[in-house]
Amino acid sequence: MTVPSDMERPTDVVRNSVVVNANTGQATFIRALEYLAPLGILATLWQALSWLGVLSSKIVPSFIAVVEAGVDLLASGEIFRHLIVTIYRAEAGLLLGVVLGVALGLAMARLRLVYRLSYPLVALTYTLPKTALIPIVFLWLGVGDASSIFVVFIGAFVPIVITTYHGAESTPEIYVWSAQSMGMSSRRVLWTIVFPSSLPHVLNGVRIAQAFSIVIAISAEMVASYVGVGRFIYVFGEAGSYNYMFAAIFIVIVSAFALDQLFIALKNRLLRWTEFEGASDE
Amino acid sequence: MNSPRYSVLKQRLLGLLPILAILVLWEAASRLRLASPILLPPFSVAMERLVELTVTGELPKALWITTYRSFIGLLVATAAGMSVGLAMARIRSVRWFFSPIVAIGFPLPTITLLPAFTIWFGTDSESKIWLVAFTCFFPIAVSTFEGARNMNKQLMWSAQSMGSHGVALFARVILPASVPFVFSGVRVALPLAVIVTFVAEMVGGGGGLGYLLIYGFRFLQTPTVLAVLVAVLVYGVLLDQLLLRSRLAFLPWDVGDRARDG
Repeated sequence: MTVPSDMERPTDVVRNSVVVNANTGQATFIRALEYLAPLGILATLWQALSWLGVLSSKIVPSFIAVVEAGVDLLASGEIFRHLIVTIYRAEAGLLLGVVLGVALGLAMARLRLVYRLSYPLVALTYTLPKTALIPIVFLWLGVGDASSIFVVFIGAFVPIVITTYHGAESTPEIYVWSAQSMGMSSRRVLWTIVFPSSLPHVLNGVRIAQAFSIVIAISAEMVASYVGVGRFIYVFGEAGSYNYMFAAIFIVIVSAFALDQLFIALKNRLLRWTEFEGASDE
Repeated sequence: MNSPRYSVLKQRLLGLLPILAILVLWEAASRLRLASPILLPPFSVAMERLVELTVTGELPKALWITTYRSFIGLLVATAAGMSVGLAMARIRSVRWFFSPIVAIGFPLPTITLLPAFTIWFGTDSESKIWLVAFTCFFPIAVSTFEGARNMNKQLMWSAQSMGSHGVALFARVILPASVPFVFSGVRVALPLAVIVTFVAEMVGGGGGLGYLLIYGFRFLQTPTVLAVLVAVLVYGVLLDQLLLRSRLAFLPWDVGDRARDG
């Protein structure tokens, strides 16, 4: 089995090819405008359909109503309290998953025994839809931070083990041999050769894991929670305040997008020394 | 006794050890009352429940409902994602229109839209199918676009130089060359489809495996929760295998993933 590692290339390419290659400020602005224009068209279309009464305001509030509700949510600041809880759960679980997942992935690549012992278990849990764990973890750890973080952790850990393992396995043997022939200890080989060379794969894996972490955290909150944006959105839905519900959804989407962009920036910074340019993973 | 077959067997058995250890510890912890039997009933009890759920038909029915929802959703997403991805690769204006949409939609936590889809399409299968389709559309569109965009241009040039144009060029060269990428997209989308279906069933009800799980949780029927979880584990492995096999069946000429799988 493989991790579909070519998953994260596309958006980079889509984005890079359209926005990133402008030289002057004005050109950048025009390009950005040209790039974002389709979203403007969709918003206009939405508002027009609402005005014409094609979209019933009971089912789909108009775009302007949603924007107004969004301004209201941001101004009152209540959504931030929930957003912070959700992001904390997603990122804490992700961090745990990255630290332990990278450790196990590297160990699996370097030590045959670890590989033989853990591969079947990892392969078995890799295909498990992680949200299925939510009910049992709620039973064990109760509803709250601990259970959300735990499910997110499992959801991040297993794929990161696999990407790290594949990354470390693909370290060119010649680097390892030359380091060994110069008398490098196997621990140093691991940290100065194998780990850096697996880093592009690991970071691609972490990017996918971050997207899943947010989904899992929100899902757990929708199933049962006292705080968090999943709960926040769900309550608006139940109460029938659809303009607020859509506004909250959009704020969450923008936040998730921002987190993804933040991670891409971090990834590019960490990989400055490689030929890796975000778009290719070879 | 060091024949290759023997050592392969030994390796396999070594891999089963941790799984067996977990099951034994689970059974023992519960039987010895180290863990509360309400929260962690013995493995054997969970298995009994699994058999019971299977015999009464509850589990097969839930399995069918969940599979139906995720597969129809995935099918819709594949058709739409493939069309949009190919059109994006070939037609400039389509690429311009969909670029920002796909870039935003790709990391989008679509699960937040669940309440909206429930309002629009009700609590039954339809809302789940559309949410799955919407979620899976993005990875498939992105992957197809990438594939069609970066396909081996020589294939296209030689076909063109030999007189293939328009529909023929598309159907006989571009489409087959991008199918492997459609499959990569589906491979990403399949777990997403199942994850989304599960959550939608847990939150919105309407039957299915997710509903069965959350029902067990609400009524503190831990054996049911664990039994369904074991079934889901097996289900996940089967789905992944199915996808790999169908890839081999559809794309006998493409060894990309197989080579990497080792």
